[in-house]
Order: sequence, then structure tokens, then C-alpha cells
Amino acid sequence: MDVQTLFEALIRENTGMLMAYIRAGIRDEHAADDVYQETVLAAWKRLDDYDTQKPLGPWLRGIASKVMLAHHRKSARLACPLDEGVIAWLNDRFAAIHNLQGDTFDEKIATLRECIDALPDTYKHPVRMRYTEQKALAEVQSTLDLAAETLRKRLTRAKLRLAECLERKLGIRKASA
Amino acid sequence: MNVDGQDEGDDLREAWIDSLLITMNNTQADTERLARAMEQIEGKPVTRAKPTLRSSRFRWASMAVAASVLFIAVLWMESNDPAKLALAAVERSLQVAAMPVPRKYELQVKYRTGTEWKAYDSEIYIQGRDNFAVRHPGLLPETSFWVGQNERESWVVPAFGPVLKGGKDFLKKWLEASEEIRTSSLHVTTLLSRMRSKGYSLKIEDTVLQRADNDSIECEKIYAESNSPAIDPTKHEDPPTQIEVWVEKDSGLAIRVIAKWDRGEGDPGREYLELNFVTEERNLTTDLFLAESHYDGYRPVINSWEESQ
Repeated sequence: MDVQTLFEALIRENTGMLMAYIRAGIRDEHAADDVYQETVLAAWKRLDDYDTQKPLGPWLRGIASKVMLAHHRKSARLACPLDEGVIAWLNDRFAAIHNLQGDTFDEKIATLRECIDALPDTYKHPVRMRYTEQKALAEVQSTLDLAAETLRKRLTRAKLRLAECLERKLGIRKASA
Repeated sequence: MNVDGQDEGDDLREAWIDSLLITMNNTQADTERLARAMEQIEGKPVTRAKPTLRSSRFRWASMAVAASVLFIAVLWMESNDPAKLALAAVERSLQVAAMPVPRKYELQVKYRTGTEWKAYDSEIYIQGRDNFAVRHPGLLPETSFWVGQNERESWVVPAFGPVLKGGKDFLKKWLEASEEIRTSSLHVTTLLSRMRSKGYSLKIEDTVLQRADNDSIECEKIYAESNSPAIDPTKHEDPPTQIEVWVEKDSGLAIRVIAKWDRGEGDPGREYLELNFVTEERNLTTDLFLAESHYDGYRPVINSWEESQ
């Protein structure tokens, strides 16, 4: 197996976690894709710096955090808050997810699925329709017969409940934010 | 950033969960994303990202904008005429402003009521060419009213009393007659469209815009000056005398728009308007551009369709 094929296999294993990390920091799908591309390219160029005794995920997230901060400085469109404090906050959470059982992001994120299953139906249905079934907001709204504002608030509350559940399972106290 | 604050902390926690939910249901898109990254490493030409369900609307809009920008670029690529370059920059920004992405701008206004100057700050929400909603401080303390427009109608929701609705011309006339607004030039697209009309001469320069948050953005600044004679206060039409727009070089997004009106001594009306881009609000729904979203309970509705058509 040549180095490039090995690199691709390692990145494939880490892409889910890396994309989640970038999306959480950047919150713009276009920009997140750009940051991902730049991160993988930078990782390839700096492959000699990588300590093979350590896991690849944190090293990739370290590169991604620098690319994200640079993008955030450059583009006025990315109005979400992003600085070293936010990066540290995200690093804590993604490190905790990284330490969960399983090899792939999909296996590690089973904990979040448990949290979704535990949600009351009022919150579970909109989350599943919006994210698992990937329905447009308008479609979720009409299927559940909800006003747009009600749906928006319900999704926000559902996500905050999920955050609370996941933080509890990861052993992270909310106050540590 | 202080993430200990409840609102900021919750916002961050929501973004964290949002990112996990999107990622756990987008494994196919991630496979394609990696393939593109590897093509880049191998030195192959980079293929375009396939649209995901979540972002397809924006991607198609981006492609339409790209096609339009290409057309503009081809049209003016051999031109060194600053006015034509400025016009091309206005066209590009207009195409970006017309994308169906909800955006929030801060609005600052100064106007004269005849004897005194007044000023207020507000926020305006914009989506594409047609949709906007803005909250204005009311005449009475602690009150406000909303005006807005969607693809079907325009509307005014006063602090009290009946809601007014009509065609697009209805709001234009209402805004021009309103003492504290006195112009229909509120929407970014309206101001950009005015700039490309024959009544303005254009100039362009490269600049770096320093924002209040210490952000510096590389911009093209387009300056438009009216060729028309001074404003005739007897006419409804009240075009600005000068319009300045700072357009982000990378994206074509209008970051700041300033419009100025030359008023005669004691003439009432708006003298200064400034719009500053705040953020894209992708979670906002189009309900914001409906009158019904801005009042609770029952209100009579006065339809002015007949008069406004």
C-alpha cells in the first residue's frame, strides 16, 4: 500500500468527525466544504510532521482549527462567533466523542442516537424528519401542522436537550463551557 | 468569546448538536468530499461538490450567480473604463443580493421633520429581490411598527389598529408619504438597482473596510452620484443624491450601503441611510416576511389592492 492510499484510508475513517467539527465551528455548508478541502490538503503536505504514535483525529482537528480561524477572519459572511475560546470548547467535546467506543464516527455517535430515542415525541418527530429524513422545513411544518416559529423553537429546544443528554453521557459538565 | 453566557453557550451547544446531526446523516456526501480532496492531492482538476438536499437551493442559486458573473466578466473584461467596471461590480452584487438567502442588516437613518433632526437604528431582514421586513420605532415611546414585503404583497403592521396590505406599489407610496421614512429605498436590491440606472455616474476603487468588530474586509467601493437636478419635494420619487456600496471582493456581497439625500434648507425627509451587513440567517423561515408574523391575536386588515394597482 503506498503512502497516498494509506493517507486516504485514514482520512476516510476520520472524515465524519472532522466534518462535524468544522460544521460546528463554521456553520456554513459552503465554507465548511472549503475548510475541509484545505485541511486535507494541508495534512497531506505536512504528513511528515504527524506523530504516528498518536491518533490522527486530534492532529487533523488542530489543522482544521487554524484553517477555520483564517477563513473566519477573511470572510464577513461567517458571522458566527469563532475564536480560540470556541475552538477550545469544541476540542473538549470532540475529544470526549473521540474517546467513545467504536472505530468510525457512525459507531461513536450511537450515543447521540440513544439521546434522540429518549426525546419526547414532540421533539423527536421534528428532529427525525428534519435530519434523518432530510425534509425541508416547510415540509416538516406542514406534516406536523406547526407554525414556522413554533417549529424553529421546537428544533432549538430539541437540540439543547440533546446537548444536555450527550454532555451527561460524555461526562462533560455544562458549566465547563 | 465568553461562552459562559447562557445565550452564547446555548447557541454554541445548538451548533455543536446541529453539526453532529447533519454529519451522521450525510455519509455519502462525505465520501464524495474526500474523493475531491484526493483529486486535488493528485493534481487533477477539482470537480464541483454535488448539492446536498440541505443546501441544493443555495447551490443552484450560486450557479445562477456564477453564470451571471461570467456574463458580466466577459462583457467588460477588455474594458478599462472605471464606470463600466463599477457597473459590472454593481451587477455582480445585485445578483448575490438576489439569492434566496435570508440576511440581516443593521439600518441607521437620519431624517428631518422640518424643524428638527431625528435618528434611529433598526434591523432589516432581506431575502432575495422581493422579501424584506423592517421594524421601525413608533411615534409613541416603547412602540414599534413593522413594514415588509413578500413575493405576493406588501404590508404595514402598526403598533395598534388595522393591518394595511396591498400590492408592491402600495408600500412604495406609503413609505414615501411616511414622515419618518419618506423614501422607498430601503432594500439593498432597490439601492443597487438605482445605481445602475442612467441617472447615476459611477466610480470604483479597491479598499479595505474596517468594521466595528475590528474585522477588515477587502472590498470594492462603488460610488454613485446622481446626474439629476436637485430633489423636487413636490414629487413622490425621492432618489438619493449619492450612493456608496462596499462589496466584498471574494463573495460579491454588499457589506455596507450608504445613501445620502441633499435636502434644501428646512425640507423635511430622509437625509442619510446606512445598511451594514450583520449575518446570514439561514434558519429564518419566510414567515418573517408575512404581516401575520408581527402581531398577536385578531387585527382587522385593510386591503388597498385596488388603489395600489
